[in-house]
Amino acid sequence: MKYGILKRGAGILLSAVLILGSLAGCGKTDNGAVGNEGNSQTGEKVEEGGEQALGRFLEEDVTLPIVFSSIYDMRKLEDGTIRIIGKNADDGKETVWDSKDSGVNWEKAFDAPGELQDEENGYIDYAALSLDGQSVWVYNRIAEGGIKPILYLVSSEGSIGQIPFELPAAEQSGQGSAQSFSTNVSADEKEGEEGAGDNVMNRSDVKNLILDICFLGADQIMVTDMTDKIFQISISDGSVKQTYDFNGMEDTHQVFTAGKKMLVVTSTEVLVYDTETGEQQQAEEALQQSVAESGFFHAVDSMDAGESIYYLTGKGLFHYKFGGSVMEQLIDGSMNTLGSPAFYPGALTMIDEQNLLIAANDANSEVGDGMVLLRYTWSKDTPAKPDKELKVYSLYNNRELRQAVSSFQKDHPDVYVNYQVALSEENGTTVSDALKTLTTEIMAGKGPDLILLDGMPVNTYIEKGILKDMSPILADKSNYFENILTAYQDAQGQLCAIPARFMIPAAQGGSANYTPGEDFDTFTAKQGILANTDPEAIVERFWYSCGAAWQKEDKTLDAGKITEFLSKLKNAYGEYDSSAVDEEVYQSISQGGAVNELHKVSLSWGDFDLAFGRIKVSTGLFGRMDYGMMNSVNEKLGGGDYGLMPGQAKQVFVPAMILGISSKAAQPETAEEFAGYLLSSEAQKVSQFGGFPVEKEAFKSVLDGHEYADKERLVGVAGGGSDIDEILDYALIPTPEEEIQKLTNLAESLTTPALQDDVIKAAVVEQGTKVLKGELSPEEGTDAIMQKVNIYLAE
Amino acid sequence: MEEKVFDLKILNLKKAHLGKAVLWGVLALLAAAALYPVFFLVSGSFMGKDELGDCLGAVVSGKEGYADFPLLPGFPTLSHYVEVFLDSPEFFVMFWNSIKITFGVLAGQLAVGTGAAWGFAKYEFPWKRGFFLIYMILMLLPFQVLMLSDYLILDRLALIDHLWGIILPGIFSTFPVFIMYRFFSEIPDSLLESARLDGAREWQLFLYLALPIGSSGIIAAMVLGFLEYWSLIEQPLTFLKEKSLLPLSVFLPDITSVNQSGMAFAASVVTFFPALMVFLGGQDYLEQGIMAGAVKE
Amino acid sequence: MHGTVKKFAKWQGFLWILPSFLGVMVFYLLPYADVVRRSFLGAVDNRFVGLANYRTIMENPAFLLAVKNTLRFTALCIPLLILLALACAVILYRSKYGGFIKSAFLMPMALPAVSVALVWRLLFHSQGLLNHWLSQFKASEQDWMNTSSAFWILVISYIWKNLGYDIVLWMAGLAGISENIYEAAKVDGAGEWQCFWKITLPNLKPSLYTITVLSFLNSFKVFREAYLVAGDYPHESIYMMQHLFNNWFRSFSFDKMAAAAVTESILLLGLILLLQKAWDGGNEDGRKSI
Repeated sequence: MKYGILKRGAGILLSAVLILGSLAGCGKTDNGAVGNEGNSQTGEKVEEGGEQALGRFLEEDVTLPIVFSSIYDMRKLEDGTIRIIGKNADDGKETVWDSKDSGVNWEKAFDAPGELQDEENGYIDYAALSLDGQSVWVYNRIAEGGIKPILYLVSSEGSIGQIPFELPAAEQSGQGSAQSFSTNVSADEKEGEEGAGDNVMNRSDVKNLILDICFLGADQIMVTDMTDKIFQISISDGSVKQTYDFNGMEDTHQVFTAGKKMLVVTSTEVLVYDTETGEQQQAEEALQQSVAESGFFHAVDSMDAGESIYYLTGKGLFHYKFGGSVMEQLIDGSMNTLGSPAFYPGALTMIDEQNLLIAANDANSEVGDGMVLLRYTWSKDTPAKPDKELKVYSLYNNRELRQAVSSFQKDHPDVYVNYQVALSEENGTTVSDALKTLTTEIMAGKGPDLILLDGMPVNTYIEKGILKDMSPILADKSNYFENILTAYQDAQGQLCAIPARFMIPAAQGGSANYTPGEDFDTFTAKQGILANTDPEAIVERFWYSCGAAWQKEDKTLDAGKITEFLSKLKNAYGEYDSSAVDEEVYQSISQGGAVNELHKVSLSWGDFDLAFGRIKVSTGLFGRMDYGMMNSVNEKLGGGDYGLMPGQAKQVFVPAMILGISSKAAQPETAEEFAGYLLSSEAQKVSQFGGFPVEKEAFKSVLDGHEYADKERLVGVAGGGSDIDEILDYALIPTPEEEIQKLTNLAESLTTPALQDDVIKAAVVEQGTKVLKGELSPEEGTDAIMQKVNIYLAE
Repeated sequence: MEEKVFDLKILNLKKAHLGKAVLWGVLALLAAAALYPVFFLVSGSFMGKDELGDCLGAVVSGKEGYADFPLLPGFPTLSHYVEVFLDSPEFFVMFWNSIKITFGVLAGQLAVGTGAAWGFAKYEFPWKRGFFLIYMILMLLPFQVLMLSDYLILDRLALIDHLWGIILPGIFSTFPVFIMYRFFSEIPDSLLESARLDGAREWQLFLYLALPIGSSGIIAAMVLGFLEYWSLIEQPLTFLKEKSLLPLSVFLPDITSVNQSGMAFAASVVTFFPALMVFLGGQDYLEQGIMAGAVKE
Repeated sequence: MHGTVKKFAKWQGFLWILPSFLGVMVFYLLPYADVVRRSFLGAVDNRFVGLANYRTIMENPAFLLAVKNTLRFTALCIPLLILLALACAVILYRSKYGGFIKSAFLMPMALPAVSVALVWRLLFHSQGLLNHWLSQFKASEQDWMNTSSAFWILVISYIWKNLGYDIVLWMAGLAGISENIYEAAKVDGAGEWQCFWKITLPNLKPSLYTITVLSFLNSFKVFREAYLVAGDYPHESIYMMQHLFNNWFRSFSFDKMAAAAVTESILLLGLILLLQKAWDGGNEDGRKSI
């Protein structure tokens, strides 16, 4: 008995030790978690209280006097004038503009002086403004022996003088040099602008360059160079007051000043320096945490000589008083353009506590190269949070939608669009789990109002009555590709799901290998025509062009058709040679996950392999035409062309960005309004790889390359594959009329929506891959597919 | 005739000895097989990224050939543990959530379940069999059956996205009642009667007789409960949307990428360890008296 | 007056159950009532449809398959596990190394499902470890999780996970058998086998009920591993009720789901009653399962 008690005691002790151990181990995280809980509770209370807090910053566009291709700096001067240094998009000349009335009217102050306009021997790289209207410009002179940056001081009235400062040569070409061209460009933007490398230069010419400048007070500037040094320089004599060395810091960093303070911001921390002593000040805990929570600072301004700062991140505008314990969020980015994915703020100017201006590069702007100026004004009568919350849900992130959210909110200050994406790279949620959660939420009446149905069982949802008829919002369908718009129309004419975009399963190849319009039998009879490709991607691509032909009247699948599909595809594929499939590419596919979902089956994925002869025919989903590139590939092939992907089904299109309104929506009217906006010409013109617009005007607009009119540029793109020397040259030119017509005709001819069913698709891709690899015979593959699919269809 | 019988007996004895040896061999083999996956996880967690890539490449990244797995790592490293403990703050949050859920549920079961088990074991009231039957059916009902309705009710109670939404239903799980009931019913009625005669109140019987005597049953229920709630999967995935609330049991790094498989191994071992400790510490209670008394009388 | 007091007195024992029962009401019985209600309604529109949902599932091949598989699995696994565990328990009982081997058998039970899934995936992948070993013996490889072997893998993994626990339960039963009975039997000249048949087995009978119920309970949990390894649509041989429930849930088929759930709980009820009856009937000393 005693022994028993002892043992029992040991058991209890053990669990106690476990608890204590975990307490000690997680003390810190626990605090955080408790803090979060606290927050969410107070948040709830505010909502429950019924009394809505009033006051919010409202956003409006400011009309700029000219179209700027970039804005170097913007400042509110001591006399209240707002001054901008920008580059005129029409003639490429830098000019300085003033506004005395906080941005309503603008007048030109002066053009950049002659020394700076010397385009023969160099170019302007940066410019920064001080509070008294003076500016410092970085002019990169191209001369024998490389590029040499020169600093010019331009007075408030436009007279110029050189600052006698020599940038020390870089001692060694540090590892940082490659990244140096894009210090204030986030990774997102690089991806979006891969074609814009118009001033490609030979790296060996570069000794050391200035990467950024900004004013410190009225008489000093901070100069960041390629070697990760920051020089604090007097503008009167060019003498170096302080040098800060960040060599070895792995993160990219950016420098801001506020009063006498210098802030060095990386994506993980903020370092604060006293510029008089050159010493680092004690870390500000609250500020650090802010970076951790809301990300990199895009722009900083101060109104009280550095006592406190205003700063912009992807999450909105924040205010922080040094030495304080909290930062205050003034603008919630999710309620306006600030949170938009293609929005890159460059300068922030606080006019006063209730008015501010933000200059930014908005990749989706209709204007020129996309520089926009936004004004935010405090409106004390507007509810702090818009009274209507429209919940929008999608499995995969949709950039077009995100963009539309910002524009829609701008026009509807009373609506807060809460866009939730279920799957992302970080969270390991599976589609199945996400759909289960979605189901419970819809049933509990807490579900989304508008659903992007991509990747969801659309037809099941329609059958079950989850989706509302949307036909009223589309009274006039004449401006649309009606064949596509009505893909989900039922017998009663109800439209419970509308594809706002579409993709075309297409193929591209030289005339010897591929004739546009050829059928599946002819195509697949050519043995090995699809060799050297990733088998998984091939099955997935042809699933789009064939799947629709398999469904029988009773919704079951025709096993014979699937066997035919697999055996013919196997013939076209030939022997599987694992060494030919670039392992690295394969890895990147499997790791990309949800985000790259469509990328790997896009037609342009095969551009380089096709152009350089590694594959004979490129196939994939065609949802964005890069005419120059496509033309270049076709020319390289000597008579290449594109057309519909051969398949068992004919004239197939893949619906994308499929809109549906929940029949249990809390805000059905707003959801309809937003859906209507998503189908409007304006929203449809935004195109970021998400498919062709169904609205014809927008379709033409995203195809025609109007942005390249009058300024022909030749661009070389290096292949992303194994061979770095492979370069395709192509011209950024407007698309010829006949090409637009050709694709328009093609789009109008499409009649069959691809079979949209992820369960069937997963089974087909899994087994089909094995067939192509030769592990299974087509018959075995079919059996395995049918076995799974039959259970699924029987449910 | 006599002799022959005797011979047979010796033969039988020899056979029996041989048989025993074979039996023990089989058992040892079975035990080794049962332990293999545990070894597998532990040794995988100490393998470097490259070694794992070589060994598991076939499964993980579609390389040719087969996966291969040595019993011991060739180049042991702690890097995955470093990654789990130092580089993944979310791991700690999840660990802590698991602790909160598990011990929250266990404490609640201790408070509520013991009483119910005691009531079922030693008191009579109308429809007792019926009530107990309900408890048993509820114990056996798969989670999926009540998933939606559970969600709706938790939502009504504002418990969705809250750890309490997992803990409260756990507290009222009928399984521990079933286990503890078995133990309590072994307490002889005569003991209770004599205590009553000595003037003990009913609650005193519970506190001073039932709890101490049935303690091994209570611990057994707690150990089983620990295992159950430590590796809970369906409930958190359904009722918790907020990532920072998820427990460790749903932490399965994506093993389809080589970079993460090491971490998956290490995380598995770290998750396994507390469960193992509790289990080894408590295994003796699992058997003590669970039905011992059933035959004693 | 007297009547009400008496009525209350009768219910006094229930006070012990009350706190637990209230919680059970809120978190289990109320949802269950909702499920029963839904089984007579349309999925989303909540229209009354009578028994239509029950008719639908009875004709639904997926439901029938799931029921068949679940029954097959339980009918095979539980006797197998119980007998195997009994054999091991008898051998291990009173042996020096028994405790050690028992601990080894217990270990898998403490392994979290995600970890098990991880190991399973690596073992039974078509290029996995099992095929690797087989290929060294020139045996033909297979894609284990995509053939009917999947069923046996599930059976083995169930036994692997629960053997230790069942052994422990049996050993507890063995411990309860008084040594005196054996000694008396030996004096009467009974052999080892005779002792086993005549004394051990009959005395273990009371344990059988609990062990069966617990093994049954644990048989549902094997779904977690199956789901984590093979996903929503595994090979048809391991397509269980929970798979179907999960998939129905996702496609808003709450009507069918509720009807199937009610059907399943009726089956469970029948099963428990049957078990209890068998147990009570076989117990001469009059002890009841409850």
